[in-house]
Amino acid sequence: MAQYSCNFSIPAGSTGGKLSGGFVGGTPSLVANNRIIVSVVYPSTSGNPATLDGAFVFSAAPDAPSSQTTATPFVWSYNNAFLCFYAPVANPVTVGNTVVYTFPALDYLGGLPGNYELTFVAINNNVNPPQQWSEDPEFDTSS
Amino acid sequence: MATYTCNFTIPGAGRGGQLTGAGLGGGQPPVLGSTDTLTVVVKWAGQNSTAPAQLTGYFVISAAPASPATQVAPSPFLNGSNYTCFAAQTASASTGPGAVTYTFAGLQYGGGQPGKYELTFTAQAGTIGQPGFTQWSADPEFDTSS
Repeated sequence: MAQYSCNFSIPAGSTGGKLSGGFVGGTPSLVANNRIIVSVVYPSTSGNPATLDGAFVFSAAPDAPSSQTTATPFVWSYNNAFLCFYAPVANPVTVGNTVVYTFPALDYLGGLPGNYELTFVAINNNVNPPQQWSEDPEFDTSS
Repeated sequence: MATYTCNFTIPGAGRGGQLTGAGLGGGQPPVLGSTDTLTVVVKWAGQNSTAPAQLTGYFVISAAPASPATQVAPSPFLNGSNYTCFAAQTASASTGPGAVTYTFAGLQYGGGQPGKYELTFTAQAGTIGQPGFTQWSADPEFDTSS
């Protein structure tokens, strides 16, 4: 089981905006039983969010073939419905002079080959108004 | 103040997947000006009797793939001085004649954030872990002017 890391960073001093980073090593191509893990690095151990909310949205990539009918290669375990939106919460872990938030892995079970896009938003809901950062890397899957 | 409507269609009950339909601007991204609103209308193409009473819409905004490197904003929408990259809204099923539709309030552009953006939208029926829970998504693009 291979694991593909998608590592984002929140720019120092920002109160929202674009995330930097993405999939390590470029666009990954997942096969059955591979997984994606998203982490977000906050650039300081001071002022970091107590928790970080993630909003994961999957859709067909802009370069997906017109024959691709699936919006996501992931499914919910309990009913096998397509997983298009997922909103987990991550806790902080101090790593050196930074704080890392790692979200639960998403497992690709296979059988849904295509070109996909993950639009991800990191949300600090501990302040009002919330601070939000987004980015939308692509990835592929094979059977 | 103009309203730009993103029209999606859910083919009917099932496992979920892609939203179909015209999307935004009929293939040409619309250009929102200051005070314009971006709304989403979802049509249920299955039997009316199988339509959910309510849909949850998840709006996720990011810079479009074609956005210039100089564009620093991930979203043209603001909450106070902070960017709105994510918003969740609910819409109830229409009760008039014809097909069932769901109209979301959408997001209003306050101006001052010109650029190229992408709306990744998920429509969700039901609650996670409950019978009937299903999701559909699509990601049309739009532009904004000053």
